Amino acid sequence: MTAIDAQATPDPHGDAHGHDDHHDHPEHLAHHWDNLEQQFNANKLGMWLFLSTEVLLFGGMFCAWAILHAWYPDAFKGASAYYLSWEIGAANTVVLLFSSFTVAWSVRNAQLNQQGLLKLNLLLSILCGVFFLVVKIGWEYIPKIQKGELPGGSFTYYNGGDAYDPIFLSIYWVATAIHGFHVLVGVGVLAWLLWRANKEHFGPKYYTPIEVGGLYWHLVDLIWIFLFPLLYLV
Amino acid sequence: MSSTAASPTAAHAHGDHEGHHVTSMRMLVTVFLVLIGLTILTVYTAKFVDLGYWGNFILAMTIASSKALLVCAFFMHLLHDNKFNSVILFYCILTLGTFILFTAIDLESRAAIDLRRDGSIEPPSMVTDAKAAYEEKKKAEGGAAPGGDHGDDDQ
Repeated sequence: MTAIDAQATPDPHGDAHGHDDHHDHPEHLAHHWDNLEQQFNANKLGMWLFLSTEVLLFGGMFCAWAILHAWYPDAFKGASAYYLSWEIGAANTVVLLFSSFTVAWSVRNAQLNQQGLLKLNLLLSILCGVFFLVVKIGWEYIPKIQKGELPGGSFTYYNGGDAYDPIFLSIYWVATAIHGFHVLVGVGVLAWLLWRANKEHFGPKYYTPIEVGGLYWHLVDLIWIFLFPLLYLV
Repeated sequence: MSSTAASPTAAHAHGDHEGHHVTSMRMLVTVFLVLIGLTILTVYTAKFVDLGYWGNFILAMTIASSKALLVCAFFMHLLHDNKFNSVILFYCILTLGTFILFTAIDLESRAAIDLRRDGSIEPPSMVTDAKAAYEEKKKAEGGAAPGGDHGDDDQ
């Protein structure tokens, strides 16, 4: 439909693609899209494809968990109870769920042009992410490093448990560290969105970055929803 | 959803997405509270409900999948979105399942090298070294266990 329309009327930009007047199409519409709707849908589709690759990235670690848990169930159970605190894991879970809520709310804010709430929700999401990282590094990683509860070959804290405890710790360290890195990147993305929202870049007509950045943050939350029971409640 | 105006110079010709579905506050808050509830449930069942080893695992995965479904459908808008995005997610999960399934089939059918069943292959040396150091320390302290034996923990 729109392709026929484009042919029916003369191209106001002329043959050269440099143009100074933007009055005939919306500011955020890139040239290779017919309209904002198509651009929005394509952006979202692209993000979902990227999220699929992320799921498969973590899928490798979930696969390792599944196999090793099937092979050493007692080591996993004992090691999880001994080395990990489920209270910390649960607190982090609640915080991430809340941040997912505020991110979803921020999309609604953009759609309804609620600029103040938009900035507040983005800020809250960032704070939740920072809280998650501070708790993880300060209360989990650093004590473990100090005591030698490290993955695989670096493990030096044998304490009477199962001989295969280091295997559980390997899974734990790799899965949570890569997830933590994704949280860090997500906080960066949210901070960029907040910076742009402060300049009033977003509104009902254009909120694609909020939508797409939000999808990434939801994925980070989704991964943790699975990591929590598999590592802390095993 | 997309505009069908004929002239590109019309106000909405390039399409605006004000027609997109806006999630209601009630829906967002309800989904969030349900997620919290499911989190409490999963912790409770892990600590206080015993359905056997695999029973607990399946229950935990069911609860986690329900939470994931809620996040995908409502927070990520899949329910009110272009159906193709859901198709992408579905095939991604399918691929992941294939990945894990085939790995498991392969590994479970290898009788040659198996640390569990054979028993003649020792754990990695760093574990035996750490264990030896622990035993030494235990002897040096006259039999008192320094860290406590958590191998017998009853969960």
